[in-house]
Amino acid sequence: MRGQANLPALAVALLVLTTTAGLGVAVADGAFASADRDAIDRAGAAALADRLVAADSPVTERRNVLNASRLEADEADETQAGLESLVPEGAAVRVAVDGEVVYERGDPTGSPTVRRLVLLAEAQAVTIEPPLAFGETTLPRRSAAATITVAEDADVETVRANDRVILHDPDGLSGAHDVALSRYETTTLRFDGDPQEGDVTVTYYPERTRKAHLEVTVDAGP
Amino acid sequence: MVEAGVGVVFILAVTLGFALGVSAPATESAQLDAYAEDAATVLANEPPRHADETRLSEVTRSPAAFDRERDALEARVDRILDDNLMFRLETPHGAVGYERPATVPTGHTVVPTPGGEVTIWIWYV
Repeated sequence: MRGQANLPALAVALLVLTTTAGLGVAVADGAFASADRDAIDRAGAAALADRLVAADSPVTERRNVLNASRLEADEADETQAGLESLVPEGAAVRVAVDGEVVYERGDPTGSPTVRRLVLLAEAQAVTIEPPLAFGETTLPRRSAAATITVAEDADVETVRANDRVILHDPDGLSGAHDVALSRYETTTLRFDGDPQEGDVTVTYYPERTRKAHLEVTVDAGP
Repeated sequence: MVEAGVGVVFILAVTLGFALGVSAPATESAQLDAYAEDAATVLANEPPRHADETRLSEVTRSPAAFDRERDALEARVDRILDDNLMFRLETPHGAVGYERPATVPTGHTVVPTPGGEVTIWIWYV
């Protein structure tokens, strides 16, 4: 008799227990679904951003310094091809600089965006005809390179940059020469020989930089 | 019936853990670390204002050089960073920027220079 009286109680107990268990599993499932952290998308975006600001990326001049002219329309094809080689296959990717999209494949809207601080560098050519009264001239601004053009019959044997010999020809220099300078120090060019005013022109490439944001969004797919 | 009650309480306790939610992902400090690294890279590759190799080695060379450069350095870091970021840059000879708060997530990076280590801390306003 005792066992039979307990039977309905057991049934009710089991019912309550299974209902609660089902509810618990549902809540847990919801918690896991909402805890989707886009880890793969975020890792992809961070890695792609790292590669884009690296010194050997197709858009940088040196680490964290983007070359502004390579982002402009006339060189877009080359840049697009360079970027294409960096982005992972099958992923939707958007790369923007200061809000302007420079590369887009698919639509990654909604995925996490990784932002990096970069500089946009623009180099313009400035040509000067240095006064050669003392055989030397100091470039007004720092530049990583310069083109020195010496007239045909000018009497210049050696050109030094901060006492380092950069051009030398015992028979006399002539023509245009590209030379590498240091962008970390002001350069003084010294012309050994007896050049006349107007025999030498120097083109240097001072760089203007401004800050910008690089924004990378990646959707690695389902 | 008592056993069933104990079981229900047990399951509800587990459920409560999920219902309270999983903490938000700690992506903020990863982004801040990236900002700090970017700022450090830009500064470390910048030409000096007067002498020495780069801007950062210039300020770590001597206390006098740091005192001379501190205003320019602070203005430069401020310009590189966004308006919603605050920073502190510590060198062996002193620091520029703001006091570092203890309660908010920060990102930081360390740059070695010939004169000692430079540490940059970044956090959101």
